Amino acid sequence: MNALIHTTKRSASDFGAIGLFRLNRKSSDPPTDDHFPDQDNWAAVITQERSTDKKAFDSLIDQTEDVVSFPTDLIGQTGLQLFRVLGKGEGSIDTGLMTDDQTEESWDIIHVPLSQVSIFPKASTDFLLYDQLDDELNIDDLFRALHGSIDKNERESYLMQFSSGVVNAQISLDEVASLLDKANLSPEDTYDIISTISDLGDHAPAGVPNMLVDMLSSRSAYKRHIAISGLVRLKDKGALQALKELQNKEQSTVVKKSALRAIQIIEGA
Amino acid sequence: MAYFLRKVDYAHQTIWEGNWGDEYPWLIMPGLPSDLLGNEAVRTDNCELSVYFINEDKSNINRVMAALNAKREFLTDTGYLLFEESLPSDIGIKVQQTDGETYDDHLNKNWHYDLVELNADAIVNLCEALVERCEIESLFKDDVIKLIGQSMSNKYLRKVSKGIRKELPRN
Repeated sequence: MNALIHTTKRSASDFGAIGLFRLNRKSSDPPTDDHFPDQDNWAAVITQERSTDKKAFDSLIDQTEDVVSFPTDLIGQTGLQLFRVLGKGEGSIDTGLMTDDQTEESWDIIHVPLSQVSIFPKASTDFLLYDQLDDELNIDDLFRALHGSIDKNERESYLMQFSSGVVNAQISLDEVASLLDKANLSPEDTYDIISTISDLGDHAPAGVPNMLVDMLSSRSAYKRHIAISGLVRLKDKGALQALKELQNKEQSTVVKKSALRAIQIIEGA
Repeated sequence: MAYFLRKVDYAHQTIWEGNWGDEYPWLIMPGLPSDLLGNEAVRTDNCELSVYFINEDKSNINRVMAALNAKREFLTDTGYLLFEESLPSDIGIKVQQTDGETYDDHLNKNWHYDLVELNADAIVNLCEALVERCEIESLFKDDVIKLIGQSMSNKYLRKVSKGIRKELPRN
């Protein structure tokens, strides 16, 4: 199975900048333990590394000790809490797995040959992750999760599912717009969603620019502000007219200035 | 008149304009929305807030923003609040010059200050004062990349983070 993992940091950039380890463990790979009864084929996202270039990723592994947390229910492995890159050996990556009752010193070490490590571009990763979640995800759950008083980690995992769902077109842009409009999202969450979708660039659903243009008409100044950010990320010249109209009539000085700068950046792109 | 700058990311900016009618129609004026207290701009660490001195002609803003972003692991849209140097003392907040922790040594030694001994009342007072008296500026990621590039060319920055280095255009 594949595993959904979210980083301990919470920006959309983190969600999007990930490397995916596909661990096709063989019986010869040490150790065999009781923690992972279904360990034939599972995957892990490790870091917010943006590059999908394997050389750059190797360099990262040399230095990083990023701790990421598993939403354990999603991977069906009870007890698994942390996954940590411990270091890179010759032609391999050693990873540590810590269960509920273990300390860092007693982590199990799994030796993963590089030949079994794949680095996926962001959009592919989202698709892959989403494949494992489609039975669990629907807009009502997301709405409740984002609305309700859930803990931070759970909310972040929902946000990532949400973005993955958009990529995979399981959630329509109308639903995205509805969620952004109705859910009691914080500015950061709204920004995360818009940034994540916008960062997909060519992989984004075709309607994303229009959705962002529609957001320019929101009564909420911060939603107009955030929509501008998304359009700058996409650098979609089709949005220029809407931005110019906004810039002319905008009451908020902050939004007005952002619209003007966005026009300059998109026109120069 | 000199200024202080407080960095605040893009998603945290519009609330400081104070036009809250559409966001919080229930809010009776004058009154502050409680979300302000959780805003990045007034999020204290050890009851202190880090701010940066800005010259009267604002000529060092770009350098300060470059330094503040050069240490991050990735770039996002960002921005800052700018307020008069006298604002903290006007509302009874103490200011201390301390060493900064950016990769710009001149900035660290000369332009970094802390607003200190902040209690909850002081933060509420600061919020009220900022809403009335601060300027808000946004910077898109594209702008920040240019600022960091300029500071590197001018040798203001002794280094940038590994993550930022990858985002800079290669010459």
